[in-house]
Amino acid sequence: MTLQRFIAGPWPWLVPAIGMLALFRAYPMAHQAWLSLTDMRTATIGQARFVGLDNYRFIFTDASFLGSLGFTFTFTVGSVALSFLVGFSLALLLNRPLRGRSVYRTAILTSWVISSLIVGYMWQMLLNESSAGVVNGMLRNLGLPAVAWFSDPSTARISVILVDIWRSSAYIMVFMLGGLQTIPRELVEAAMIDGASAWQRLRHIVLPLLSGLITIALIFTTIATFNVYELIVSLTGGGPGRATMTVGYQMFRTAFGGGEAQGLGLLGRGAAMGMLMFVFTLAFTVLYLRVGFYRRGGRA
Amino acid sequence: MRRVTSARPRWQREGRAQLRFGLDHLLAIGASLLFVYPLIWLLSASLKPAWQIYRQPLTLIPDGATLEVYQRIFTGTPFPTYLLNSVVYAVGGTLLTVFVGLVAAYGLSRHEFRGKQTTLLLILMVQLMPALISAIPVYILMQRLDLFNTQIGIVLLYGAVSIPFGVWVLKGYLDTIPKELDESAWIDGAGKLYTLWRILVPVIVPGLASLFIILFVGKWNEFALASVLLRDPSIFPLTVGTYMLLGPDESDFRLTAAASLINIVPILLVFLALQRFLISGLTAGAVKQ
Repeated sequence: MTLQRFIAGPWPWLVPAIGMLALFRAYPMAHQAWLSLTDMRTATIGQARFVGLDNYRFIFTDASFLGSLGFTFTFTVGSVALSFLVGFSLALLLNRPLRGRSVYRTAILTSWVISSLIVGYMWQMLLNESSAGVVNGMLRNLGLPAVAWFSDPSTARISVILVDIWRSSAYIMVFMLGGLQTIPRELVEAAMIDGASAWQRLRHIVLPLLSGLITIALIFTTIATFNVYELIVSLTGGGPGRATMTVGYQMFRTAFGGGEAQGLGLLGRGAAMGMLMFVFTLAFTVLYLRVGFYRRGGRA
Repeated sequence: MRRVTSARPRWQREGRAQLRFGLDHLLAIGASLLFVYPLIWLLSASLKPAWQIYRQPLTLIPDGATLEVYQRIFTGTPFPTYLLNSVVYAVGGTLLTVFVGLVAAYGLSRHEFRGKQTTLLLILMVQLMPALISAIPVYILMQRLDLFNTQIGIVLLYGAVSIPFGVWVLKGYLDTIPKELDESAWIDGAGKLYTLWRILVPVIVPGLASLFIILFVGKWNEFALASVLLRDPSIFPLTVGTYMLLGPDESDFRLTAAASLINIVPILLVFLALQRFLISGLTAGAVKQ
């Protein structure tokens, strides 16, 4: 290829993007695979020893890490399923001819613009078990017992899931609302004339038409949920004990959880945890490509 | 409005419809409150005098509101600096993504070439990988590039991580513009860069606005990478500064509430100002045919 043809072609347009992605995204991902096989610490950057699969052997025999992995799965399944249910219900509600529905939509979407870190702080206060906690205050007013939102391990796990549902259902709502609005009104009305009940219309018309979009929404949410970190930092700090630690939280703690400036951060071991998140995400990415990319003939 | 005839008498139909209508509103108001009440409560907690935080019964309206805690934050901590840094990182990162993404989107939208599908596929795969997964290798990379603990490092990184999303969304918008528009500009002697900037960009302004707000929200709220890559408090963004102020579990409700609101209010205003562009962008990349 001559230089002239190269310049007239697409590549000069793509070079800045590909260059930045190669440096800041692709290279780190590849580097992480190597790091996970070394004993690199923050003090020994660049002079790490190759230790084979030691890091993996360690994390997969470490009860604390396995506990985090277990909770991460529970959290992901619980949060994704319920967020979808809540988000889709909200979308169905706001898809009805409701006056002022854009106001409702805006109100619900405010939860989407708040950072996970702040959502965590906010709900830590709302669900606080001291007498300043407003949710327990409301329960008391209704004559109900106060709930140990964060001090009881099993309840704390549920609390984290509930807060994550609050955080992520608005996005699903907007996503599904976009899909619902593509369904021709006549189709639903025809079914009504034929006497189909609301449930039948949902089950036999709406859900089949939106199945592709639903799968995509579930995959996006699953990826974001599995890699949760920031929400945990401010909501529970992984506690009580280690009850609400997730893989992402463990990764950051292992590598940067204090002492990394003194060289004590275990980058190699953290990278092994990062690889685990990578592999999980990759599996869902491949799934996404199968439903979202190839089915449309490779066109976006 | 639905025009469905049914065998029920008219009065009964209308009664049911009205009941249904009222129920819909009731549900929608309930749901909206669930999402907005926590913010109202934050405002209330941040304005209460200290002695009212634990006073029973808990009230939403403070008894004699005070800005004391805001004053404490803005004069006693580097929050004004954090605020400025957040603006720099969010605006800088967003603009970088939009420019680099726009140029790449033009290349992909206006050229057919071998390897185009593969390029698109790779971009999509990177898009779905959350950046925080690679926090550790990025930490090492930034040290090696001498970008560790620098503002420019954060802007470059924030700009880079969302390029796939930017390319994807902008290519979608550019694809909707007929190529004849470009060609008529070329006949008039315009270069490609001029065509992109003066002919195509004005057409996709709504798309750019929606991309801008989605990216801006993401960068304004980013905590994980910034917390690892910055050491010097004078270059912390708000999220990291807030964490430094509050720690993992701050028990001063007024301080926590006020610091949280300082994080939320600017982004909320941007969101309210630009939200009419937002909806199309949030679903772009998935719904776009």
